[in-house]
Amino acid sequence: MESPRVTADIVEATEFPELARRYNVYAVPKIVINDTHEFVGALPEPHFITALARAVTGDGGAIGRPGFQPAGDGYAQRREGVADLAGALLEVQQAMQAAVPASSRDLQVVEPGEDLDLRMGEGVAEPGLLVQERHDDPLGPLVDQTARHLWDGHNRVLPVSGSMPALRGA
Amino acid sequence: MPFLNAQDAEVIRRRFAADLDSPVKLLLFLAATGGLALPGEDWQIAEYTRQILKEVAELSDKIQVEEYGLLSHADVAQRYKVRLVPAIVFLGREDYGVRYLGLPAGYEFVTLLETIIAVSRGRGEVSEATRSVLAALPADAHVQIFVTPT
Repeated sequence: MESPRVTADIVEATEFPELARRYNVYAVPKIVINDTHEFVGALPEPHFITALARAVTGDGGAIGRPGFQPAGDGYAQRREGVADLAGALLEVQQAMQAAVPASSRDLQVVEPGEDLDLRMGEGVAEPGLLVQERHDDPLGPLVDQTARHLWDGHNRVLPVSGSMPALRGA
Repeated sequence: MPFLNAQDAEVIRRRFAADLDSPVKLLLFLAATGGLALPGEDWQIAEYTRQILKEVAELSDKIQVEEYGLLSHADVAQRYKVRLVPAIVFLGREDYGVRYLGLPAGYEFVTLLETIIAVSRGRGEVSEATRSVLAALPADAHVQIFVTPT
């Protein structure tokens, strides 16, 4: 509605089991963007729009970082647009950073490869392997929150949304 | 038997009166129209979906429902890129590309109402920062949101 570029299907997963299977829907809400990017959970708006932008540009997360320069054939003809996008994303992320309450900045770092047996209903679909990506990101303190994924053993990563205290206690 | 009791219907009627702006057309695509069921079709889901939309449309004269068969109106289905049923296409002042696949019952009934209102107003409730990201998107994004009715 806010952009002619974005279309949205809300899919009742139990009525369309073929679709749910194709996109490995184990938990809802599950969001799939352009058949290429996916995550589980209702992300806060700034996180959602960041994920959307990254899915659209097909970039692994580089866009929106300071000094990011679009490169390669795929970007050649839309270089200018991507630069605009990077600027807009930075604004979103700065606003996001400003809104982070101080307490969530003290997230415990979990070592890569550490097995966590998470209970169902704590924001993740199933027990998995917690992996952590570290990169310089204008998300700043939010890196701890957004860069953690649960690897569920099916070559997919599930973003861990929300319940960081649950992770800490696990 | 109606889905909505009188009290809920009244709440929704008031919300619609306060929040709807432009007329909204809901295109309901089913396997077959007119209450006919094709072999293998889950006619009950189709019937429930039809009934829910009918009751919602009765709560505001700005909401109109049109029913199409996926096969009998293949041209319309193609125009709105509908391949699976039941599907609801939400049209406001224009086609914003919003679809609901399945029965919008349970908690998703709220999704139905909110989508109708958003399409009628022609804008969502997002921040200015989000708007500028959307305005700068260099390519199309098709978002699929998988939900369950509970």
